[in-house]
Amino acid sequence: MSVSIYTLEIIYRGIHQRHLARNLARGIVYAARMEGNAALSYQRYGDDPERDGVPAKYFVVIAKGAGSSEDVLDAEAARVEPDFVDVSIVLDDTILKGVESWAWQGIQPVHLKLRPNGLLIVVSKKNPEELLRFIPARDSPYKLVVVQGERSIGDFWTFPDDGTVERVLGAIAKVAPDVLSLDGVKRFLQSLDKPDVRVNRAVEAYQALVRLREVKPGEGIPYKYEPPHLPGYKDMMIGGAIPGLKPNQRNPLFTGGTAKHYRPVINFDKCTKCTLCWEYCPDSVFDPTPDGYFNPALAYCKGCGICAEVCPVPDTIIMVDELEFEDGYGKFIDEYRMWKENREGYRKWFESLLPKAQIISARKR
Amino acid sequence: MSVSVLESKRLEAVLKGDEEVEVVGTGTDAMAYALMLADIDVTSAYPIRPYGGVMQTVSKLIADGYLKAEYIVAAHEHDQFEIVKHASAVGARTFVGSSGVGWLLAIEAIVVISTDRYPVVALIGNRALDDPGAYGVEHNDALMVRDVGWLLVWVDTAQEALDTTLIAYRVAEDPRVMLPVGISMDGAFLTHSEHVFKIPPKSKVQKFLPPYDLGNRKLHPSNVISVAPQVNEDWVTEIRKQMDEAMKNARKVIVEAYRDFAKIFGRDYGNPFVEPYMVEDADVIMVGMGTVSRPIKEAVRRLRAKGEKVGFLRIRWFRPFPTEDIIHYLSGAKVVAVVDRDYSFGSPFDGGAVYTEIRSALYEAEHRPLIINFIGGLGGREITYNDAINMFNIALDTARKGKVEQRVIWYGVRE
Ligand code: SF4
Ligand code: SF4
Repeated sequence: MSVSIYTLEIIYRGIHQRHLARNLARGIVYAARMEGNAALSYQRYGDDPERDGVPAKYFVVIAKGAGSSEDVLDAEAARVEPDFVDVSIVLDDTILKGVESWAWQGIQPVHLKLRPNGLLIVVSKKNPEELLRFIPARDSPYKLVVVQGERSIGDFWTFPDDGTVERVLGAIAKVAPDVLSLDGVKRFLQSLDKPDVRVNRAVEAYQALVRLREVKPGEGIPYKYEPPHLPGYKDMMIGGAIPGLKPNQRNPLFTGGTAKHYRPVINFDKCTKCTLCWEYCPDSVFDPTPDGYFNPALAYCKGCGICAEVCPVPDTIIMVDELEFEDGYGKFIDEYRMWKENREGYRKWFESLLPKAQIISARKR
Repeated sequence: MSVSVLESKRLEAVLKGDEEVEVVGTGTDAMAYALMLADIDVTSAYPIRPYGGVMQTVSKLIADGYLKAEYIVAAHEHDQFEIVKHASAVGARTFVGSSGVGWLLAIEAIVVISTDRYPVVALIGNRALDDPGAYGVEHNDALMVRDVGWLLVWVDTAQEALDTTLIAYRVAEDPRVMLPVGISMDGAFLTHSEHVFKIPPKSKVQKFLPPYDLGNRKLHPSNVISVAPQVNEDWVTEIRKQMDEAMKNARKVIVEAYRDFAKIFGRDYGNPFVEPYMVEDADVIMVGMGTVSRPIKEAVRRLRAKGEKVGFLRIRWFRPFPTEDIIHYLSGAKVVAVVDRDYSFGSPFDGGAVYTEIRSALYEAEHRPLIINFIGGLGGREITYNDAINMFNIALDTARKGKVEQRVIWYGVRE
């Protein structure tokens, strides 16, 4: 019997989804093995998923038809990351706005590793058409798959057992039966606690929660990813030292802004210029303006929400979901300029965002 | 109490005049005078013997105004090495050191000094690693860092300690090298014994040793750089490769430094890497590092007087390893006998580190001599000239038989 290798990638948010990603990766491996295949999984080690919100990756390699022979996985073992993936699973739809894995690697499109005609599976409450407004166009076609579901957010210690693993497994069985059959998924879930609940979730996803849309070359937002230039040892400064930043300069190579799933929006009309947001932001995101306000350089914002927590004026800093904003991939809106240019328009816009905010300054939640 | 009244006039002379002066002192005194001449900026101290002697003399030199330097007493050895690393990063010429397990306590800081490429010079007052407790010499403390980018040199006299310290700064700070140097001094036998040596005048040292210049790597508000970044697999190979190149460059830079040293100071060490002693026609050549040279040389002379063709090769620089010189001097012998004041348990032939490296170097030789290894002098035990004669006799016997009966001999071990 001939062996075919399938590679899957799981992109998730550091800390919040590390248990989720690991459980999903292991689940795929177990399910694949229960179907008589060889499989392994690994993290992209350098991602440092212990950092809040950092987009990080897990990989799963399945050797179909390999039986119990592990040798066929040798070529895929001991790797940092695979060259290509057949399936890319995105556990938080705001990650569609880009992945920054390493300082000099720049902002990578979410489907950088996806093979032509591969599957991009996203857990989201939006439909594929809406999500395409956040995904860069590419030269080859692919299939965008949405698994309807809430963003599953855990923390360092705990895993919210909310059915996301089961739903994604069901979705894989639906859109990539070559990779994982519904039967394999069921067998795996039956080996766990609460087997009936888990199997039902997978079957529900399989039957009703998956939307698939073919994406043609060129569809999506314009963004050209430049792979990094990695210097040779003769070009590097001795010891790997690197030129530092000048005062008031920000690192052009590493913004880190893809770590956020929500962002601060400032109501400058109410701001008292108290400086607290500027002082407390752990990433020095706020630029002082000539008239004493503080404007967030959103490309560098990690979305921690501290600014909104410390702002003493009610309804002045709000944290709003990233998918409310069609920017990203290095180009972010400039809130202060928007406000300066059209105060009335800005006020209306802010008020439209207020009901959607997840953190609101100086308000009991 | 200041520097002894005996020395003060002599120190004035070398600091102000153009003549060298003769003094009596320990190996660590000699090194302290070299630090005065090299005009170090920062040093950091934590007491441990036998290294501690150098800090006592340095503190007196500072107290008496012969040397202007920051003398920072650290909380422990790790701090000690971190302090000089940071000082070196901002452009200070630094000195540091330790012994035995004290040196190992600092190991994390020691490694980042070389990987961050700071030309720190350190004294390793060689001392047995605990346990069991022993103050005396073994070389395993220094050898612990043989693979991580430290240049390592062994000296055997107070004069050589002084001269090598000056050479060490010159080599370490050369832009082609920029690696730290560890100067090994045998505990007690050199650190705590008093010999006559000459202190050269500072005016000549200034000709020999240019000011420390980190160039564009100097941490300063006017030169904003970031050092020691987290780079992972993308950069690490290249940064290690830079160190490999630097270590290889050091071979050339060491030759240049000794050549200029001879020109300026009139003391010529000949081959910088090894000291050959009556090896030209020798059938049996003993090899060792540090003060074991002294009794071995005496044994060579006594055996030569009886017509035995024996010689001695002292290794000075262990990193970079003098492979070519080892092949050049040793491959003509019938038997090479390596004396290791160290051990490398479980190494290819269960011998010492020097023996293992020499075997490796001679693999490339056209003629490979027989090699035997003596592990001896551990924990500061003496190796007398009579011991050396005994060892030579075993080696001569091996030469006569034309084969090695026992590769590694624990010399003098009680059964
Ligand atoms: S959410 Fe606020 S405090 Fe946190 S990084 Fe962004 S601007 Fe700074
Ligand atoms: S914390 Fe709030 S009130 Fe204070 S400067 Fe920032 S936005 Fe304005």
